[in-house]
Amino acid sequence: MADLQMIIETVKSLESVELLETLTEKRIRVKIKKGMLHRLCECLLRLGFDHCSCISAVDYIDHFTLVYSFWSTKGKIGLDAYVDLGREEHVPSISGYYGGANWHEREAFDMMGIVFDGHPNLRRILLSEDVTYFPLRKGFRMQDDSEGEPTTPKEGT
Amino acid sequence: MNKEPQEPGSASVILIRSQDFLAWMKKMDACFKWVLRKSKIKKPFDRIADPLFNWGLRWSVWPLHFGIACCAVENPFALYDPRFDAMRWGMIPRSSPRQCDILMVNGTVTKKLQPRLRRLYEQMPEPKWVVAIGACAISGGPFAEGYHVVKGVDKFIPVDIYVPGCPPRPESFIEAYYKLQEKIKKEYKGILKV
Repeated sequence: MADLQMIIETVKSLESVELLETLTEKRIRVKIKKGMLHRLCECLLRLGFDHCSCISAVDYIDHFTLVYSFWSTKGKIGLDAYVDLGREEHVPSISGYYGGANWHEREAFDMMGIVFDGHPNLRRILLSEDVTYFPLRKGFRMQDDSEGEPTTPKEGT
Repeated sequence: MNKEPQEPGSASVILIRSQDFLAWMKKMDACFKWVLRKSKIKKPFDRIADPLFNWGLRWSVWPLHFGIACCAVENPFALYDPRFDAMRWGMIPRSSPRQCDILMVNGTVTKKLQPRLRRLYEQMPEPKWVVAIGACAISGGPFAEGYHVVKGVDKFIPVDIYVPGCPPRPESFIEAYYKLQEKIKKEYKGILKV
């Protein structure tokens, strides 16, 4: 079983992986480039991170940031991987490595409109199929109708 | 290929019997209607039967509890407990829309849910009434500005009684029940029209 020091060293040894900080003994943050995602997943699976607990997308107006949360159920250590994306960029899917990432990626696509390349079933998961907008983006506004009630969605910046 | 004649199973026997029974009922219904049309007993019959049927409707409203959100805890889960005890008015909660008289909508209706709720409403037999419970079911409530919220159940199905509150107390639903009784008494819905 890999302890914290070994995990940090192994992750650091990967190219273009930047260790941000070690919050506590149980929590590591790393920043990676999106091309390194599959290499990182292979490495993490070897180190015992068997659970991808969450994939959340953050909208910073000029770019998106994806936060992958991995968890080692045996070592009880969490690792957050930050991936920066351009507005129109795609990102490789990790559902081949972590089966649970399938639905998380569908949710990120549903709410933020981030396209995951190589995803087996990239459809809307929460909203209905005919919806055309991505409601959690910062530029998203509801357009008011004549009575002043918000009805139709409008995509801003 | 020769098939040996098999004994019909109990399920198929029930199916055959019920089909026979339904055909017999249809015949009886047609016969009864013909008698009512031809003879002069329709008027006195209605004078007795209409209030009787209406009384029966009023005191045995079977609700379909469509609990979507937190209002479902207050009404009707609290409504059926020993303290408020909705069964003393003949309200028996049913789980199938085909056995129900009133549709109790409590909670936020999303755009994805709308066609399903519409379908449940259409599956209910006439006469039927709809009660919108809570601010969300009436107008969208605090979520009215959301991107996925239908602003009120009355946007797609007709609503008879509105129970305001967030969430309403069970007492306010009891009040709504009495209002519904008045409405049933006034409308005389569901009476046999020949």
